[in-house]
Amino acid sequence: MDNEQALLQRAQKGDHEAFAALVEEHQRYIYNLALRVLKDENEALDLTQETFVRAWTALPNFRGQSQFRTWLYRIVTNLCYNRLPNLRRSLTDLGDDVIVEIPETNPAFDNPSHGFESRELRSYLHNAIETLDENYRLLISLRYQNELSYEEIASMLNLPLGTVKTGLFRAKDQLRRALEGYQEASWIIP
Amino acid sequence: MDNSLTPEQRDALVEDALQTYPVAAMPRSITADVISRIKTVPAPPPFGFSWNDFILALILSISIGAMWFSINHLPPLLVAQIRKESILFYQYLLVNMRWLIPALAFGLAAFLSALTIPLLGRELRK
Repeated sequence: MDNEQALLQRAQKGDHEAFAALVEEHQRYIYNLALRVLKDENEALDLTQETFVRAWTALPNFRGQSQFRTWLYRIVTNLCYNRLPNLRRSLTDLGDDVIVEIPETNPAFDNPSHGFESRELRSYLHNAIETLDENYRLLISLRYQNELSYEEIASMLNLPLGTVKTGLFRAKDQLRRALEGYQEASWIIP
Repeated sequence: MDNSLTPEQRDALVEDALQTYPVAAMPRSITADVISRIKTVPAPPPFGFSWNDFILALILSISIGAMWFSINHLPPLLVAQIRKESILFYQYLLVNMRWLIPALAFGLAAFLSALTIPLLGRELRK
């Protein structure tokens, strides 16, 4: 992190090499976020480039109020809003009516993800994530792949905390339903 | 044999799938592309104070200083007179122009809100 701070300071003074190191470090997560939302490799690559070019021009305004990576996520999300005009609305329309939270880890419970069938189930659910709406895919990617907290996501997307929780709750609910459907269709689980 | 999963098992499977959802690999590095693009963009200027900042700070400092100096060096009788007159004026406004103070407050709020419109517009266009 100290190294990143030093790179940032050099990049802010116009050092291309320092900025290249920052691009190298963060590009995969930016690309992943863009890809999960847009579902198009070329568009995601294009958006990733655009994100870093914008970051370069806005670098003098970056005062370190947030982490550099969070700042980049904000830029790529804004670019996604431009590409998908309904994304912003679909996020705000989530509301914040769900107050029950699904625990994210349940150590007391014996996770059934073992063996061939469970790998298949996991793979099935990964595919199911791909079919969720773009607003859910964005929230899932930010929470589980970019490992941001609910609060960080809410602040980054300018959404109430309850809306972020509601979105993730509904995404999980849809995945649970998908799992039920799969189970009813196949009956392969021992 | 009952093949169905319990709700807890279902939750655990969903959670497991979310936590193992893979980060996509990049088809190729974009570092060279980004660097060649930013070389055409002028280097970001280092942070610094502009003359505008200095002039604004100077005017504000002089105004605050002048106000402080005046308040501390006016004859006590005059200070008391000003205080009395301002209280009377405020009372007059409260009695005869009740609408003025809320209108001023809302007007100021509307003016300050309007100042943010260009900034918000720029943010939305980003």
